[in-house]
Formats: sequence, C-alpha cells, structure tokens
Amino acid sequence: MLKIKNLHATVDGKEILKGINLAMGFGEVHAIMGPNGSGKSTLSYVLAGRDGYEVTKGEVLYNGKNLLEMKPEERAGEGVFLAFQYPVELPGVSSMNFLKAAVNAVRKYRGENELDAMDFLKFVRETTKMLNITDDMLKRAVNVGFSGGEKKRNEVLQMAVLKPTLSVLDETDSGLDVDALRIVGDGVTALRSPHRSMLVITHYQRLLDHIVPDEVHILADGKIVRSGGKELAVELEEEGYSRYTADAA
Amino acid sequence: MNKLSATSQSFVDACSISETELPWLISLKKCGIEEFSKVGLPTLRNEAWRYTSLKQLERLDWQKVAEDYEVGELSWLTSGDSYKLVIVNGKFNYSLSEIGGFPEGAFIGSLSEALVSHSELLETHLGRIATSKDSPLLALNASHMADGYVILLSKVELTKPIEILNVGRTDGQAIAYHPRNLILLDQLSRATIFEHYTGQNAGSYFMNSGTEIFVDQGSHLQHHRIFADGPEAIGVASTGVRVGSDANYTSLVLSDGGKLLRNDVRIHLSASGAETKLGGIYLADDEQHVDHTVVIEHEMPHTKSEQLFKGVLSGKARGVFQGNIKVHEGADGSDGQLTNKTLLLSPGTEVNSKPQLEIYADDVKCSHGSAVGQLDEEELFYLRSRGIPYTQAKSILVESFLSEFIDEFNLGELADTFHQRITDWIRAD
Repeated sequence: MLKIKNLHATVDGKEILKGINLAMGFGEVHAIMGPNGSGKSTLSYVLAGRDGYEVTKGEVLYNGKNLLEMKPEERAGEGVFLAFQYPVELPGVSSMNFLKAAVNAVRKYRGENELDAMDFLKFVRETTKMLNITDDMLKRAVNVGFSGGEKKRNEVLQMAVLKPTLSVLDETDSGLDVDALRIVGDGVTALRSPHRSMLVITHYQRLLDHIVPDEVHILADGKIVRSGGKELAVELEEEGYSRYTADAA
Repeated sequence: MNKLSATSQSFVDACSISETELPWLISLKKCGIEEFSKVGLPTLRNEAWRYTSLKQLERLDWQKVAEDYEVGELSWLTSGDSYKLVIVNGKFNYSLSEIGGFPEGAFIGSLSEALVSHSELLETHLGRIATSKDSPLLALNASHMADGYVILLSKVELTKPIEILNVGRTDGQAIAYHPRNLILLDQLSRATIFEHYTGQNAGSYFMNSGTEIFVDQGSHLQHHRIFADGPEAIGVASTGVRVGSDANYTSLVLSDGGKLLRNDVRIHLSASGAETKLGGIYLADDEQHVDHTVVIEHEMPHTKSEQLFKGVLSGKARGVFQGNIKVHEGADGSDGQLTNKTLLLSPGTEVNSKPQLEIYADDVKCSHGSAVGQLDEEELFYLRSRGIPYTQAKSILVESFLSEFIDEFNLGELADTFHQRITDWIRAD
C-alpha cells in the first residue's frame, strides 16, 4: 500500500533524505528508528505534504497513486494521517469544532454524508472514553494549555475519528510518562486492523513494547541502513545508535 | 484665513442658515463654519489625520441631498422586537421608522422635531461633547446641522433594543450629508442600541456624521455598530461620548464596507466610577481604507477604560488604528487598557498602528500593546493535514482570531450577525 522509492528531500536547500526505500503492505506496522537529525521528522512531513520540504528525487506511491502530487488535505482524504511530534496549538478554535470540521471534510472527500452535531457527538464519545479524554478537553481550544500527555492523546483521538489507512506517528512517545505512554500505546494498538498500516517513528524502543511492529528500519543520515524484525529494536536499545552514525559518516 | 480647496469651499457654500432658526443653533452653525474655514478638510499634515487622506473627496462634485428619494429593501440586523429608526441620506424617515410604544416621558425621533419639542435640552447638549474644535469634520458637520436622530431617556430602562438603520443611497449624483445625532441617558437609564450603516445602489456618497452621547448618573448604554457602507462611500463618523458617575458605555464596532471609513471616537470619563469598554473589528479588502481612531480621556479618579481592536486586511487594503489613553492630572487610580492586533493576509496590505499613553496622574494602571502578523503556516498545515481544505482552514483561523471577544459583549442575537458578517467576509475574500 505504500512504496517509497529512492526518496531524496531538501529543507532550506540542505539535503536531509538521501534515497529512502521502503515498502509496506496492508495492516503492517513498521517502525523507523534513528538518532536525532537522521531525517525521521523530515520523512513524516514529506509524507504529509508540508510546505518547505522539497522532494528532489524519487517517488512515493500510496495505493498506487502519486502521493507527492497531492495537497495535504487530499492526502488526509485519501487516508494518510500524521500524528505530530509537537501538536500545534490553535487558540480560539474549540477542539470539538476542529474535530467536526476535520471529520466532515474527510467524509465529504470520501463521498460520505456529513455528520450533524448530534451524530458527531455520539461518534466522538465512543473514542474519547477509551483515550481518557474529558468533555472539558473537547470544549477547550485545540491543544491550548494541554499537558504533553493530553496533546498526544488528542492526536490519537484525531487519528481514531479520521479513520486513516496509513498513520505516521512521529515520536508519539516523546514527553510521555509511563501511564500516558500506556494509554497512547493501547489507543494506537486498538486501531490496528488488516487494512490499516502504521509507520511508527521513534527514538526509543519503549513505545514498541506497546505497539509491536512487524518490521523495524534504522534510519541514519537520510538513508535506511538496516531493516529487521522487532528484535532489532531491542538490540538498538542495548547497543545504541553509535554504530550507525559512525557507519553513515 | 487660508484659501480653502474648491471642495472645502463648496461644503461651506452649501451651508444654509436661516434667520428664523433658534439663536443658539445659528451661533453653533456659525462657529462650525468659522472653525472649518480655518483649515478646511484635513490633510496628512494634520497630526490626527496623518495616515488617512481625504483627498478622494476633492475628485467629485458633491451635491446636497434631494428632498425626495426612494428607498429599497431595509436590512435589519436582528429579527427580534425592537424600536426601529430609519435615516436615509442623513434624513430621518418617519414613515419607515417604527417607534410606537416608546416609554412616556422619553423621546425618540428626528433632530428637527427635537429642536422644537426639547429645545432647552438640546441647547445644553448639542455641540458640547463633539465640538467644532475637536476636528474639522465635526465643525463641518455642525455648520450643516439639520437632521439626524435624537434619543432622550431619563430614569428609563428600555426593555427592547433600538435599531438604527443609516442608509446611504444615490444613483448617479455624488451626494454629501452631515447628520447630527444625540443620545442622552440620565439617572439610571439603560438602553441597547444597534446601529447599521449600509449603502443601497453603488453611487458615491460622503457621510459625515456627528454623534453626541451622554451617559450620565449610573446609566448604562450598549451601543454596537456595523459600518457596511456602499463600495463607493466615504464615511467619517465622529462620536463624542461623556460618561458620568458610575455610568458605563460599552460598544462593539465592526467595519467591513465603504471605500474609506474613519471611525473617530472620543470618550470623556468625566466622573468617578465612569467606565467604558470598546471593541473593534475591521475587515478590509481590495483598495479599502479603514481608520479607527479612539481617544479616551480619563478626567476624574477611578475611571476605567478597555479597548480591543482587531483587524484583518487583504488585497491592497490599508488599515489605521490610533488609540490614545489620556489620564488627566488628578485622575488618580485610573485604569486604561488598550490592545490592537492586525492580521495581514496579502503582501499588498498596510497597517499603521499607533497606540499612545499620556499620563499626568499618579497610581494609574495603564497598558497598551500592538501586534501585526500573518496567518501561522504551522497552524494552517495542521488543519490541512486533518483534511480541512486550504480556504476553510484559513477561514477557521481568521474567525478564531476575530471571534474570541465577541462573546464578551453579551450581544444576544446580534452576536450571530457579527459572526455571520465575519464568515461572509472571509468567504468573499
């Protein structure tokens, strides 16, 4: 469902991704692990279509379509979701209105009927309970004054209601304590299904205790330098990244 | 005396003073002519008009308003029960107004009627708080003083709002008019006034209004205005307000129309316990020019003022905000807050924001702040990454920037009108 071929990308003229190759099937969970500065976040932004990330070479096929040609909102409509490492605060925009606008926008894109306020509330409530998200959080402005854990739970809530087929989780574990990590991990795991794939980007192995990957890739200096099973993550945790950063250099 | 420009001279020539008028009114008009003739229309050399040029006025030949005019469909701001006043081209229209059942002892009607029925009250208030010395435009307005609306309330709490519809309407001929309005609330009176400035047909009109408002002795006035004049309209709305002891003047203004608008407000907090809260929203597109100029005079101790003006400019629009808080000598313990924020949506826009504090008293609490910015790229991307299309994302962000303080004003049904105007403006942009 996702094929990344020889992907090169620059930010401010500097090459960050230097030829990434990756293939994922339906329902698979792949982890991308790598040291700081290896290009993990750049990869996630390129997949989501953020301005300022210029693809200079290569292609990304998503369900056979050229993903890189699509606007960010079209990618979301097609089922791509990025859980941000640093969720953005939207002062003055209530979480509920934001969620409703997002859900109805993708429903419209997918040719489904838009939900009215009542149906939407029912629909959201099913998910908020599982993620321990209170009604109060939904009334507040998006991410404004949220704790680190609340922000990440909010990302998972958005992921749940937008029903993506490809989720890119960018360092979703950063800034979380053990309890918050469990809630987020369980929330994500509950969303696993045979037609949903996930790309879990992380620095540490601990998130992968909760979201067990089918494959693990090590990203260093803009390239995937090694791929393996879930045991690779454990190995990394014990040995660290120094070997790969040295290799890449 | 300087030589006046042709346009300024034509405005002076258009004044008519009849010897049969009330003597004090004659002297008020004459004083207006005298003050206006000293300088004529202000130029950019006039400090208070540094960022707003009225040069456009010189391009057209402005005529007086004809006696008979037609009126199209009236657009009311609310659907609820209200007293309704209709002013067309500065002239009070009784047949279109609905003012039946106004409380006994109170007055609502035209300036010309009030000059007959409440001459003494008008003599002691007209030209007192919006004076010919305040600005050349007010002087010009005084020299033409003939019609407008008058609302007089003493010991009256109105149970329904007053809605005032100011219609500018002309087909071919460019017209100029100078309505003078007076609102008087005394002795614990309460009123809510919604004022709507709107244009019919696309002709040029120059609306130069002067409004005097007295909120005295524990009275409360909510005065909310929408300036949505026609595309060729040049509007100068000068308002002088005197707030007395334990009285309160609250006003939320939204402007989105006209070719040029200057909303000029001067508020005198003239007794202890006087308070005012002003909000402003300005939306301008294409080549519109919008200017909100506010002066707050803290004249007595323990007076309080709060101002928040927010604008969004697009196209080649130009915005001006001048806010001045003056705390007079002896006005100790005054509290004055002022904030101005402008969002620029395109590179051709320009804003001049000039907040000022002049403090001559002790123990005061005053602050001012001004910020100019653009839409946040990160916020836009976040919304779009959730499937929300670009224009909708932009509209959500602009709306959240503007809407946050509308609810503070307890506008009731009018709040929807404000929100709707903002949404419509964003959509049209």
